Amino acid sequence: MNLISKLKLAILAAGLLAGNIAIADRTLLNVSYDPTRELYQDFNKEFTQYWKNKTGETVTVQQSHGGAGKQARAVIDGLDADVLTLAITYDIDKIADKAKLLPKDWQTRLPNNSIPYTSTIVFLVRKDNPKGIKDWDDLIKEGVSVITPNPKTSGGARYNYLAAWAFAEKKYGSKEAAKDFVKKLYKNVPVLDSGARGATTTFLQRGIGDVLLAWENEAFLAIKELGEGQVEIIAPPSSILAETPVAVVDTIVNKHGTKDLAEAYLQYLYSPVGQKLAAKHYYRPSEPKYADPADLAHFPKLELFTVKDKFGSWDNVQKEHFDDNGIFDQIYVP
Amino acid sequence: MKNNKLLLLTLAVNGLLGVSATAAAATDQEKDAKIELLERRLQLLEERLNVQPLQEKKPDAAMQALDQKVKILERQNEVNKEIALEAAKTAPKLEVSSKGVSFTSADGDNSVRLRGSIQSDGRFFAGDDQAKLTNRFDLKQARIWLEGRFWKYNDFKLMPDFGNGKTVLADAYIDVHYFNYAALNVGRQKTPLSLERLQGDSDGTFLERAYPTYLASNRDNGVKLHGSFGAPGQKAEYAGPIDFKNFATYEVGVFNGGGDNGGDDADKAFEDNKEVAGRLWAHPFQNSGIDELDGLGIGIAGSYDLPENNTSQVKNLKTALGQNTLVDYSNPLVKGTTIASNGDHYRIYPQAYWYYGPYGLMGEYVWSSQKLTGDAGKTTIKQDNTAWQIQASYVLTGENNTFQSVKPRAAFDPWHGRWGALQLAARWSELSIDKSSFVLLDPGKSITRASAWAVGANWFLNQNVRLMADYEQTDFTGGASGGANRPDEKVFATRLQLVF
Repeated sequence: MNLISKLKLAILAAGLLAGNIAIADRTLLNVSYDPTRELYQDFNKEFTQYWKNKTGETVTVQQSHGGAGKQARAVIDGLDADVLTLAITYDIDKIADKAKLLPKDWQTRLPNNSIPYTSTIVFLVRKDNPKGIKDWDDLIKEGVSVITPNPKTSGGARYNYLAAWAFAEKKYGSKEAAKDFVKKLYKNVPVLDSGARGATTTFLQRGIGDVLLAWENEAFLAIKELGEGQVEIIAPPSSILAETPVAVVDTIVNKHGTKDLAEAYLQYLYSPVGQKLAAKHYYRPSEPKYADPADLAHFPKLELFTVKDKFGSWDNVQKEHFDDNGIFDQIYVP
Repeated sequence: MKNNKLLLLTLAVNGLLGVSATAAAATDQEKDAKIELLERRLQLLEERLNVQPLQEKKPDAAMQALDQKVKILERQNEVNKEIALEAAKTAPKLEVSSKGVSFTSADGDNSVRLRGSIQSDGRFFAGDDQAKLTNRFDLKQARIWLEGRFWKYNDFKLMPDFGNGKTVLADAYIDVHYFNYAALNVGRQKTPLSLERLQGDSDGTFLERAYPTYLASNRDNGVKLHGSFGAPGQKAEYAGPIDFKNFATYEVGVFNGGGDNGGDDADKAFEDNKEVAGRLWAHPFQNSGIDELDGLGIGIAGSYDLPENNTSQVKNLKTALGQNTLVDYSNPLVKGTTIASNGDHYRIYPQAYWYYGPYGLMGEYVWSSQKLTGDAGKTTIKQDNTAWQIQASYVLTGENNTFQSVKPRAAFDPWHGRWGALQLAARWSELSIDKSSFVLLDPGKSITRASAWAVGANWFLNQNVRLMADYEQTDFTGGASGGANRPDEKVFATRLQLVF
């Protein structure tokens, strides 16, 4: 073999070696909110297998879960999330605005405004619904004890509050009436947990309260864990559509060299496999045609409105209701 | 009552069954009749005893409400604890203690501490009939400083001193220490030479340091690389840019170079050549199991400088306790000229200490060789000076004697019979000036040799306040007019010191 041929072989070998090094075990960090643990446990198994079959690369997906607001804060403060799968668009907007980790138009980059699945807020009541709770009005009755977390710390709790507010504003016709309504509602809240999981603990494990305002998927999970007959789901005639967005964190994926992986991960949520899994875990898929009809049948039919429909934007909501000295601070006295 | 009724019924039934057993032999008809009779009797008994089947008791509504209230209170308590824990994770800590005032972030990675010291001295000279030496009160040190840390590995110190009637910036440095074995200290700092100089300014056993210190450069601007190592099998801990804690340490730095005892204005660089200084130090028996030698430290330091075209006068040397001029470079033989250091300047400092229980010993020796020019550059000499000291101390009240001072077990509190800690000390120190210097130096104004013995007592009222009293007698060779020996200096000095 002459020198040129030897050189070519050496270069080829080096290239193959570099290629192998480049595709060796990458890791993705998915920063998510509290109730999605079970969903992503299953989803990650599916995705890593899919990616292995497609590219031959073995990847690891790490999860971080916590209250949505807290998670957003952690990312702003330096937690290196490759992808975000959070509870409200406002939290990702905050990350884009304060930490400049992704562009402000992040929501346009994935289908359905980067919302692969949604949820809503339902009532979880005791067996046989002894207090006869059917609608939001029943929550302010005397003697009804309501469990809901603090909307200043919990993403889910913000949906709870806004759903109640929107109901009241529609029924009673004014903001003042709505303010009075939520004031009465929070007067019926004996314990204000900081997060959705804490509130679930209060209601289910501690046996406190007559009704838990819960994420729909959490409510189904509670029934699954406790068994039918311990608690019941009551779907009010109308509730809020919890639009739970996802996003790639550009600065981090560029730093980690995981951009293609992160994009594929989130796109896989929209795939038939991803959509089916979402429904299986009691999230309302954005493409229901891919879901198992038996899973879809679980979801109660109710009138759903969005934050945009009733409040304009999360920015407005945050400023008016949840910032310091906002409406929540005015109406809630511990 | 109910149990008794049940018992009676049971006995009755058993009795009846016993009767029925004896009728086993009777015919089927007789059996049926008997069974019917038994059933009727049982029914009668039930009616008489008024026994009813157990019923499920409905929960009392008041009890339920009370149960809920208790559960709510318990859960509120849990939630409040969770919130408090979360808040504690980010809440900064404010601490006021004998170590000063400090603010520390919740994670400990950031802190700022305010510290200070005051040293107020009195000096009284005995046998000074001609009143050539002035008895006086001195404000030796008046410092307030900030030290702290940012992002866990970036320490700083900013220390002005307002004592001695002037304002100087004593320390101003940043120490970056991501690696214990290689940290970088940049700014104004003590040069790594004399052991006693490296002792904390408020930790010294005597009011003033001994002669070897005055042949070292003082604080200077520069860059120093330093590192610490633990004993075999152990990890070193970060102990600051001057480390007397770990098993072995090194320091090597480049500084502007201020000459012996630091030039008058050591924060100016007079020329391009810089002083290189370095030091190695070890506690060879640390954690060896030999307690008596655990506190033994030995080391060696050295420096090299090559000042050229230097026109700054070499700093005068003074007696230790008396602080009177010993070697007067400012009054050379040829009036109106300047004696400056120009040319190779070496120093070597072997040094050691040993502390065990209440006992303490410290010593160091220096050989300093420099070239001096004078007489408007016409004369150049090589000056080899030496100095050494040995000091011993003992803590009468039994506390541990250390290089970093003494911590009394109990603070002074006479109303409860607590007296603080008392340390006694003795020192011998000598300085020899190269005789070749007297081509430039005036022998009537500078000594060739000084030998000083000193005794001292330190009363530590608490960790922050100390009362000191020293007596030092210095015997001189030369230093008086006509080449005579200068009279002995006998000085009694006191200090009240506060440091936090």
